Amino acid sequence: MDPNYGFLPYIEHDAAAHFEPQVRKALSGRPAEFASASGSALAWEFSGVHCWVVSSPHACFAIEHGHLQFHYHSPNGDGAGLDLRQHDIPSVDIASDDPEAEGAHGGAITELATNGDESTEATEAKRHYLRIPAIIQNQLIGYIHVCCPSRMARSGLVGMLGYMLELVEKERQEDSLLQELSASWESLDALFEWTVDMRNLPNRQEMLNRIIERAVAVRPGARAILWIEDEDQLLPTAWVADTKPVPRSKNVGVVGRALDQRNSLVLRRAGHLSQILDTEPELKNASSVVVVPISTQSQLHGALEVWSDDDVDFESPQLRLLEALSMQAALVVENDRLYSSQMESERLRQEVDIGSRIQQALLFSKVPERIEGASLASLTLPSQTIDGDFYDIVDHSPYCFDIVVGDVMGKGVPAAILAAAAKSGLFRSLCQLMVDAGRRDIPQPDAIVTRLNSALARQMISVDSFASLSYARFNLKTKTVTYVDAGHTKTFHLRVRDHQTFLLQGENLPLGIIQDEVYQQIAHGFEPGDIFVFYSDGITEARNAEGEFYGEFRLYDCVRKATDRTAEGIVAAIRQSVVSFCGRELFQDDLTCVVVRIAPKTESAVQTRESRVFTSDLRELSRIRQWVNDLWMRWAPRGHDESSLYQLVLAVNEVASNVMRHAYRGDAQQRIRMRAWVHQNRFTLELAHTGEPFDPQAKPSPVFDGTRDGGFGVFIIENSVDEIVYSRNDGDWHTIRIEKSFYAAS
Amino acid sequence: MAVVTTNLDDVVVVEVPGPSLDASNSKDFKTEVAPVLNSAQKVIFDLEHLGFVDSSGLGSILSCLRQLNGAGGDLKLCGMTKPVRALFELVRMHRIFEIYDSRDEALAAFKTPRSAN
Repeated sequence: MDPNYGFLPYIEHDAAAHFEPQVRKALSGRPAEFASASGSALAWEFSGVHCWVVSSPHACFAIEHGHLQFHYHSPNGDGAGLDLRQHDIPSVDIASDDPEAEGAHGGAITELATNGDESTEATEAKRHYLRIPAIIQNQLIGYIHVCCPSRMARSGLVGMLGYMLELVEKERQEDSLLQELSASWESLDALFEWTVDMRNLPNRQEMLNRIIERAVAVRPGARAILWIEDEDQLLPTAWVADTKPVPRSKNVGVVGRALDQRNSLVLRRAGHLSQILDTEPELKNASSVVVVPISTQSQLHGALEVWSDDDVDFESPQLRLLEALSMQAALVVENDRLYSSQMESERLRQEVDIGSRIQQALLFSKVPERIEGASLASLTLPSQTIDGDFYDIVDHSPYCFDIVVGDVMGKGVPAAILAAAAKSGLFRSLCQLMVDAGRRDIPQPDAIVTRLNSALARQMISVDSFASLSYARFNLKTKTVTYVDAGHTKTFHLRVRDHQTFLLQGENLPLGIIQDEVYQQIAHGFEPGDIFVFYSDGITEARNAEGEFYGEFRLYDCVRKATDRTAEGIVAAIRQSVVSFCGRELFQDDLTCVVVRIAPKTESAVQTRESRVFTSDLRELSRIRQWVNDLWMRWAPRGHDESSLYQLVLAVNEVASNVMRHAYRGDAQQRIRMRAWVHQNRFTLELAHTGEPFDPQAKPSPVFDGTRDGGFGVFIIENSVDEIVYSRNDGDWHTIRIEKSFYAAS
Repeated sequence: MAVVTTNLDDVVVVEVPGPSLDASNSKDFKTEVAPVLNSAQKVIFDLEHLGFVDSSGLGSILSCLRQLNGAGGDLKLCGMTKPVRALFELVRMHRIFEIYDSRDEALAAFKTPRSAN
């Protein structure tokens, strides 16, 4: 075989290293000798053209025309050895070419030079030197230099080269597929083993130790550290290293960079390793380094750092395996974290469960379905943790009820238990006061709260807690609320008639601060239709995403816009307002509020209207009383409250008596005209006289200590009826109008 | 107005006549009962016939109490009907008077003095 013809796969850049084994592999499975080729040279003869390919000076291959047989020419063997260095190939200055330009256009064959003469007889003398781009997968990987005897042979030659490249490419693909498969297999294998390990290894540390063992086994001589992030530090959690690593900041060095980029980092000796700082002493002698972040989708847990002092790069299958190991480490860490947080949340869940059962069973009372003359509703949005919110509603007569709203400082079961203790203490105090006094009437709010505080203070002080509380007693007859404020949130009262706002607020300390605190009660009037809102600070201190408080003013505004609603409707409006402000349904604190809506005065149909004239003789008083009594008995609903009748009769009697004695100055010959309208829900009585108008306010206030006989009249009137209006009609008639509602019997 | 009185040992029980004690008859009542108050130290007013008492009636009973207390005596009330009790509670006089359900209880209270309540 004439070795004078051939081509040189002069493959530029690093691609040569990549290309060479592919060529070799492409030829393996052909005649055996190719596989043993130590160099990478290839030559063949086609259409009378001898071709050769070489990237090593010591070997060449030949292909015989017709059969496409490959021949191996030993580099130092038979005389036909093709040591290219001995061949007469013109040197080509590749660097002077512009491979970019050609590569970009897919490459074109370039005639570099022609030596010899066409007329020369010896074919060897006429040589064309061609540069043919080697393109694999549309990528220019280099150029093949060919010398051939004539231009005629060129097309055949190009075709042949194309075939060769195809062959090489196929091999390359197979090879990479195989590599990939083997890498996957290794990963799968590692995962499988890890899964088995998981079952056998007792704890996280053992598992991480096993992972580090596997990491250093990736390559002989490798060392590794598994860093786990803890706050801003990286803790060496498992390692195979020459010296024991110490915790370090997570922002420094190559590990820091990998964490920052959240990507694997591969450093090789050439150039890269100069970046290694003193902060990473383990890498002092390293020649190649791999850092793989340990992360799950949600969280970065640390990094797996592997290095070697050998001057050999980590290859991609090894990198893949390290990545697989780091994923395993992430799973171990994440599992561990989830397990502990699950334990914690389980504990919390149980606590919340117990706490909310205490709340529901003991702390939140059932709102009475119906209290005549007022509607009540409560809102309780329990939080994720339990607060010590509590409330209670006691209706102790048909027109009188108490509302207690409280909040024990603290959270969780202890707060809930303390709140339950406060509540039971409240009722014990109440009972005790009633027993002590030997009376049947219910004690005043100030006495109840003072008693409760002195009973609870010692315990509360001993556990460093206290409770704020608001105690309010509503009397629908007298239209008064009597309240004690023990450091609670201000109760909001909206006078619906003119939208005036009142805040029920006292000056007393919360319960459990001073044992002998004396609590003061304050009386405050209200009108039909008015709204009261008792609430815990959970409502006003609910925050939105920006951290802004919901606040009192939003609450007040919300109530002002809901004056046409029942208590139930107002509670729904408050809930809606807080939830939409905060943008969530779950809150840090309990949201508790109780809304009282005093029944608006309804103009119900008049059932009857009657009138009668009496004389101003004091002896007429019993006739007047009888008349009122008869009307009531005839028109009041079945099961009416007797005491309301007594109060009405008493009030009418006192008014008439005053008129006789004061307006008419005891003149028994004058007239008193009485008119009555009986509505569905109330009585209206009007008493008219022509005597001197008198101002009931001018009367001295009554004293209740038994030292004076009189002065009770006006007090009796005002405290017995819903409303009393003194007015002067046309003519000489002065009228006194009394309103009195019916209440169902208790 | 005729006041019926009963003497039981040193206690005088006065049956206040019904059906009401108001501005029209409270002065009469005071006149009627004055001799009893002048002669006795321990007095019980039995109010069971009274279906109604107004502020004037209450004032007259109150003045009886003050008169007796002033003379070192005492007045106890019993047999109060519901409307009358409602008035006493309204003006908080149930804290001033000793009130018993029955005449016997009131008598017993005079026999075994206990701390005032």
